[in-house]
Amino acid sequence: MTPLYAACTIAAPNYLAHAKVLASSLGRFHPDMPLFVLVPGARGLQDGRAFFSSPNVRLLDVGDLSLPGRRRLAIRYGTRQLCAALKPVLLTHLLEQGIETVVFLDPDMLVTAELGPLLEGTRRHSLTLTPHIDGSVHLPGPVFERELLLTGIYNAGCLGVSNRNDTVRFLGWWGNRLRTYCLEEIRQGIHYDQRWLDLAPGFVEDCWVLCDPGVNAGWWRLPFYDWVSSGDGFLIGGTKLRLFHASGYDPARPEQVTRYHPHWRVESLGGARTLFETYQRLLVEAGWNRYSSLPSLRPDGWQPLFDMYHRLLLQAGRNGSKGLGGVWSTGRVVYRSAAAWAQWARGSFTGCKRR
Amino acid sequence: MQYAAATVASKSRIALARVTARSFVDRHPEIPFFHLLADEPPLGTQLGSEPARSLPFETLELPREEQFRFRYTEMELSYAVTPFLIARLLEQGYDGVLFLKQETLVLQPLDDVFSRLQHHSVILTPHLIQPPRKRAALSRELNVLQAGVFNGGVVAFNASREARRVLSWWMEKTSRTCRLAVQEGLHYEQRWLDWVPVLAPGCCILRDPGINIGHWNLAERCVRFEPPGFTVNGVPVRVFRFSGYRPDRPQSVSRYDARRVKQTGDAARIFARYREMLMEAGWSETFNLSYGWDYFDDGSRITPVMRAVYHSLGEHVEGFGNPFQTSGDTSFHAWLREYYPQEFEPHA
Repeated sequence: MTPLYAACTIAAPNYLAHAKVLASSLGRFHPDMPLFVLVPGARGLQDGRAFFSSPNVRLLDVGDLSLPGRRRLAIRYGTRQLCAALKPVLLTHLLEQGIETVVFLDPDMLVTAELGPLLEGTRRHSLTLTPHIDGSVHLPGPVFERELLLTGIYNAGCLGVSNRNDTVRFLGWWGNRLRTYCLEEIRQGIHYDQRWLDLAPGFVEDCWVLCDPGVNAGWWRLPFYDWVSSGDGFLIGGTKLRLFHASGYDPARPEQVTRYHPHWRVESLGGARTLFETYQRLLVEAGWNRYSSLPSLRPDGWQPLFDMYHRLLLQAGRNGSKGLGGVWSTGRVVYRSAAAWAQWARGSFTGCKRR
Repeated sequence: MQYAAATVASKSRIALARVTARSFVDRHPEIPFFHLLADEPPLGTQLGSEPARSLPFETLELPREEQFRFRYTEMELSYAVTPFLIARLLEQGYDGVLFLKQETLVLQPLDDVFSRLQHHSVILTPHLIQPPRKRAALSRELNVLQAGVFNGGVVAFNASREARRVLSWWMEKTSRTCRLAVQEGLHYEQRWLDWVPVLAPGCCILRDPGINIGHWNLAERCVRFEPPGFTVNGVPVRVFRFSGYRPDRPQSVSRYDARRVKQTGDAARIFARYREMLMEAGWSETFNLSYGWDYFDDGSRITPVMRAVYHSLGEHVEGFGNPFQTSGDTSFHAWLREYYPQEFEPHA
C-alpha cells in the first residue's frame, strides 16, 4: 500500500552508517513513517536490508528511478555531486508513486524529537524550505549574510514537497539543471544543488519558509543560539531541537565541528558538545568504521577532469547551446577542436588510472 | 490608510522620473508621488519633476551625508538611498510606501498592491515567477541568481515593526556596500532583498504576471493589445519596466538584452508609447545634464578610482572631514594628490 507520507534520503555506500543512524532516530519518533534510502552504486548491497535494524527503511537503487543516461551521470559526477543531483529525481519518483507528501533529509542528520512543524508545513504547502538562519529573530550578521548569499539562503539538506502541479514542475526544472550544472561555481551563481533553491520562492506559488530553530539545525545556528541538553533531548534557544544536521562533520576528526569552519572546535561548544559526541558514538555503533572504508563511486582522481568538463558545458549553456559546440576554451587553454580536447582528456584518464 | 509612492533619480534621469510619476498619478490621483533628487540641486533654473513632489536630497537627513555621496557614483547613489527614502516617508506618517524605480510605466491601478500592505510587511516581486522555458533560460536564471531573486524596481513596505526592522537592516547594507561585485554576492541594493523572506515572515511574494514585466521575463510574458488595454498571460499589464532602455536607441529592448523591440510582439507598442512620453517629458533636454557630485569644490573631477579608494579606507576617512573639500592639508583631496597624483592628470 502506498503510504500517505514518507521521508527519503540519499546515501552513498560510505554514508550507510549515517543513514542507519538517521533511520533508527526517525523510527523512534515516527515509527509509521517509511524512510526511502537511495543508495547509488549499491550493487553489492542487495541484502542491504540486513544493515538496517529499522523496519521502516525501504532501500532503493538508482535503477528504480526513471533516469535516462544515469550511467553517464554517475561517471561525470563525484559522490557528493551525484547524491545532490539525484535529490529532485528521487522526490519526483516518490510523488509519482502516489505518496502525498515527502520530506527529504540529508543522511548526516539525527532526529531528536517529533518533526511536527516540518511535516505540518509540508502537508499544507507546495514546497517547504528551511533557511539556515531564522532572520525574524536573528540578523544573519556580516559573516553569514555574504557567505549565504553566495552558497544559498536555504539549506538543501532538508526540504518538504507535496504532490501539486507547481511542485512537480519545480522538481522537474531543478532535476534538469542538476543533471548538468551540479557544481561549485559560486561566481556564476551556482553552489551544487543548493543555490538553485533561492529561485524557489518565485517559481513555486505556495513556497513556505519554515523558520524553526529546532528544524535542520547545523553549524550555521551555533553562533546564534544556546544549545542545552534537557531530559533526553536538546533545547536550542529555548526551542526543542528536532532535527540536527551534522553538516561537514567528520567522525574521523571528532574534534572538528565542520569542515566548512576548520577552526571551530567541538570541545568549546558548550551544550552542543554532548550532541556531537552522542552523534559520533551512534555512528560508530552503526558500523561507521566499516562503511567509511567502502570505496567511493569512482576514483576521485577523475574529479578535476569532469569539473572542467562541466565548466565547459556551463559556458556553452550560457551561450545558448546544449552541447559543447564550439566552446573548447577554459580561459587558460584553448583547444582547437573537440578531438584535441578529447585527446587531452584521454591523457588525463590514463594518468589517473596509473595513480 | 494613507499611502505614498516614490522614486529616486538624478538630474540626467529626471524625464524618467516624470514619466513614472505621470503614469502613476494618472491611475492613483489620491496617492502622492515623491521624487527624491539624488543630485545637487540645479542652479538658478527650475527643474521640476511634476507631477511628482520633488524632495531635495537633504530630506533624507543621512548621517555623514558627504561621505555617503562621495562613496558612490551617480547610479550607485540612486540605488543606495532607496531604503532611506522609504523609511523617511514612513516616518512622515504614511502607512505604506510603494517604491518604483525610475524607468517604470504604470498602466493600470495598483489598488490590490496597496491593500496587501494592510496584512503584509513587505511586498516583493520576483524577476522570474516560473522556470523560464525559452530563450536563454539558463543564462537568465544565472543572471537572476547573481543580481537578486527579487526585483528592486517594485517594492513596498508598510509601517509595521517588522517592515522597519528590514528597512533599517537594508539601510545599513546599502550605506556601505551598494556596489556591483557578483563574485562577492553583491549587486547594488537589489541582491540584499534575497534575505527578506527570511527576515520578514510576513512578507508577500507577489507573483502577478502583470507587474514588473521587463527584459528578464518578457519571454514568458505574452503581452497582447486587447483594446482598450494590454494584457499579459490573461491579466492586465500594470507595471512595465524599461531597465536599460534608451529612447535614442528605440530598436533595442535594453542594453542588458540583445533583443530588438520589434521582436516583442504587442509589447512594442508599450515601448513606443513610453518613448513618446519620455520625449514629452523633456528627455532630450535633460539626459545630458551633468551629475553635480562628480566634482570637488574646485571643479576638478572625481574619478571612480578616487571613490573606490575612499571606500576602501573604511572608517579611516573620518579624519578627512568633507571629502569634496579641496582646501586644507588634511583633506582627502590633499591626501589623494600625494598618493594618487596620476588620478588628477587629464586623460587623453
